[in-house]
Amino acid sequence: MLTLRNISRTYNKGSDDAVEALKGVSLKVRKGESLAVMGVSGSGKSTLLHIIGCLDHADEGTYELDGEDVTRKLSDQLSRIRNEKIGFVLQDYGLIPDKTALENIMFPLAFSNKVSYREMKQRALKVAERMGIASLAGKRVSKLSGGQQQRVAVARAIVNEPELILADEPTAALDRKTSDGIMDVLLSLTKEGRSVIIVTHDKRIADMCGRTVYISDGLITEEEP
Amino acid sequence: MKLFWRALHELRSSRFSTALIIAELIFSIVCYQLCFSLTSDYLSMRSFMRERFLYNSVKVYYDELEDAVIQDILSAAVPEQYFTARHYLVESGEEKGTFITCCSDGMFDIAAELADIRLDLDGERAIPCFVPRLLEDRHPLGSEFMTSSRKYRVCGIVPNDILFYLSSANTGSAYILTSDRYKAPTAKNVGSCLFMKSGGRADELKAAVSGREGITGLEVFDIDKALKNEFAAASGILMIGGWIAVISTVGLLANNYLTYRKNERSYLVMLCVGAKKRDITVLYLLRMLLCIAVSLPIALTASAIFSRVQKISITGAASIAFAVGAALVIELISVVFIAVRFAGSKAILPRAVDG
Repeated sequence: MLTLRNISRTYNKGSDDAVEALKGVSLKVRKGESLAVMGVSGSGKSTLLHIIGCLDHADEGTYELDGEDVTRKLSDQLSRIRNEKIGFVLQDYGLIPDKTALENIMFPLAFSNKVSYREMKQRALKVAERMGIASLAGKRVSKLSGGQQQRVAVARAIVNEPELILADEPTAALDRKTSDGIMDVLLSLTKEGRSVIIVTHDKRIADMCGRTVYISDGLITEEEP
Repeated sequence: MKLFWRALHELRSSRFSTALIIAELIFSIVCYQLCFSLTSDYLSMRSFMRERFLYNSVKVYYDELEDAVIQDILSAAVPEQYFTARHYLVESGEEKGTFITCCSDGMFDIAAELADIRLDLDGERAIPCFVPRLLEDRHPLGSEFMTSSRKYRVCGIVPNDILFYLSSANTGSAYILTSDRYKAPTAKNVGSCLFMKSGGRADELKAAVSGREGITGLEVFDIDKALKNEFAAASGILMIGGWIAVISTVGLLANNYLTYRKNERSYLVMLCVGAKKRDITVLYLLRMLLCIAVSLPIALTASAIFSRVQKISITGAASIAFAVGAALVIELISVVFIAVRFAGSKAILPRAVDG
């Protein structure tokens, strides 16, 4: 599904306060695989997530996503890739608080040229139903609980049927029961052939994933199993 | 089209902020029109006065003169095109706004561009005159009135405003009547000052006129003083309009910035889910254009009402174009700010993920 080869990324390159966030990371994630990325703050896991999510460029190395080299793609091409191939579940849900759950779920479809408004709505409702939040579709997300908001965020991530789901600390703000529910949903996506990468600090969450990589000081230091 | 609907949706979902921006736009547009109209009138008047009209003119004050004497005095003036003489009202040594201006023939062409002229009303029986808009109720188009045993017929309504007396002098054919906004001319209050163009021979003109019976004073027209007085007449309202324009503009920019800050996270999330940077700029531009589209008719109605109430015409095509252009520029500054902010920073996208 995706292959990173010797990826390096340095912030403020050439200046005195240059930070080497990644130092030649190589990683392969297969189709339908779930991968946890663990590491302490500042270890480089967020930078890795940004590069995998086509939000940032690597300074060195190559990145292949779904057989396509995306390392040197232009901004507009990366936007298309993010829209069609990647779904994001952000740290604090990343929802627009004054919009309804349905409007939030429809968001990625609004930037796809292939879908009409009616189809957008139908698809969003279908995904909401699947996530068990169809009854909340008309409610503003600011009125929803943390677990419900995260379900909306997951629904938004999958509404475009992407092949890769990136989740950054998806359960950090949730209680154990709600976390387990969200993880069940995320892991169920792998059965449909989607790859799921979860950045987490929680070992228990990482253990639910098929594989875990540990990142420290910009390098992958350990991998299990 | 999707972006248009999204822009509309965003405006509707943040109603207070949208209403504030629209209100600021309305104030800005009206004040831009006001400032533009008054300033351009003032500048054109100044240019006109300086270049060809009143330079080196002579004022002749008198108590009472026969028409024949007046004609004799006027014959000393240079019969140049555009201007021969004016009759002013003088009360207690002060010139009031009421005056009758005599201009040479051939001014209709110029006047027609500025005023509501009915040449068919220019007949033999009465002296054709133009009336400023503010006296239209008292002297409607086609009506006749008498002053100093002369009969006038109103054949044009000139779009007067505070600064118009000079412009109106420019538009005369045979006679122009202008007035301050409170005093209509009557037999009692016209004809106490002649204003004559000397063609650069002010001293000769003074010598030719002085010594006649009935003349109480002679002076060369002080153009700088006149300009200062003209500006003083307009400066109050111009000052207020200018300040409101400045406050509205600053408010608009500040409000745009705050709106952007409020929506920044949404825009970042949009980028994450596949929006192009260009989409964000277009979205913001559409928001701005929609706000202008809503505020423009309201602003134009407000300025039309303002013109009617204040008797100051601020609804000319040039002033509207200027005001709309200025509002667009202000809004485009905000759009450019957003475009630069999104296009210029590589770190902006990860911020969405990091919260």
